[in-house]
Amino acid sequence: MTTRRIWLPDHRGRDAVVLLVPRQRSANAAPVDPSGRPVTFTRRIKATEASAPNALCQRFPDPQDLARALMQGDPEIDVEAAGRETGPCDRVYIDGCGKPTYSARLVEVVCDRHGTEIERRDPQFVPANLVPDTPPVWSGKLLRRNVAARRFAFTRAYQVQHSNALEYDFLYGLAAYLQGQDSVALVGSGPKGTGPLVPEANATAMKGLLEGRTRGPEYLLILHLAAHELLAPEGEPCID
Amino acid sequence: MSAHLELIYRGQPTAFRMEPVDRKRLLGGTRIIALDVEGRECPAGHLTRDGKYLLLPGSTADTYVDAEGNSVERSTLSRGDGAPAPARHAEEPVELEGPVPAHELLDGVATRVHRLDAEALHSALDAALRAGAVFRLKRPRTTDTTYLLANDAGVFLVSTEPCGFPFVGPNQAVTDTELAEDDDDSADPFAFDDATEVQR
Repeated sequence: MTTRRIWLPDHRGRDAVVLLVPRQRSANAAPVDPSGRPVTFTRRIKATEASAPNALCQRFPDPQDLARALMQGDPEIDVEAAGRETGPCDRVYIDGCGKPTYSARLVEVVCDRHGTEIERRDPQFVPANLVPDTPPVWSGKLLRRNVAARRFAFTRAYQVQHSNALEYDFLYGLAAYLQGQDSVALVGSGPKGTGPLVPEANATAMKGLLEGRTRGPEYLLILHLAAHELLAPEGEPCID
Repeated sequence: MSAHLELIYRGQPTAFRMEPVDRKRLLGGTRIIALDVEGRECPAGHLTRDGKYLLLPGSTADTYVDAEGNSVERSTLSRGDGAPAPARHAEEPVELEGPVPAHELLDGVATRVHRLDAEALHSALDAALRAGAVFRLKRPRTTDTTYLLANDAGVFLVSTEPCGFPFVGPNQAVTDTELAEDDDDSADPFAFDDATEVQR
């Protein structure tokens, strides 16, 4: 079980590490068959390394021989394995001979928007930055809610919540401020507080916008994360 | 090949071409590959825990099975809570309702984004979109909500799933132990929702 937290600054110069609560999905949303009975997901074996198409092509280089073998002996079906559940498996890399390789070197391939490879480099570890080493900075950048909604594709959202009375006071004040401005606030990393947020290690860097509402003594503070802007594919992107 | 969608506004239909928009198409992306000692790319496979079978790419089949172990066609499945599955883009014309407040989009998370291109946009709809209006597609039997909107970059269709966050009061403090695991989309590859692909 992981608990996500964010070190959040506010417009009054305060800051606090508070909880991020993910949206809850219905526990009963699991799929059922037409008669309403639950079904389970399984992964089954279709072919093994000996009966895979490439292996058969190597075993029967002549297409005529391969066709004859397929008709006479069904070598493409491993009767002992086909249809069995795989069960838990380990991920391995396969060398040119169809065997696991033990000395694979991992490389990160960077592609442009057309899918063309533009760079190869060693994989980079990108740490999460929701709770940075140094106190975060209030960016002061506010965007009208109506404008933000039509500008970004918010693909993730977390509710910012308190775990004690002091945090409640801090978060309620922030939510009331944002509601009063009818705006969302840019929440980010870096010295200006405008950089991208990385919610977990090696995750997509996203733009964070904080929305606040209040209702009596209650508040609702949501951290919206935008994976990209609403742009035409040929347009110039604005998110790192 | 782009998909097509016909929307009806004030009784006037407008046909759109739909082009999916995601981070990969806008910004590119990265992927991790493995190279052997001679620099050749090594595909990933799976080795069963008993070490008996090496499963090469394409040698497994993902399926749903019932209690008796019989395979169940995915198209016949439904959600256990009775909620309808998210709507796919319909072949039939869909009516627009609204305008609705643009910030209504913030009540959900985007699951799919398309850019729309119309050869002849209905003038009233064009004017409303240019003025910043946001419309909702009328689809009564779905849990997700789809919005039509426009900005400087064009006309977009954004499908959203509700967040469902409640207001919280001073006595509703949460503790670490109350929090469940994050919404993990990797648990079930056949999950009903089409969460946006996470790329590095």
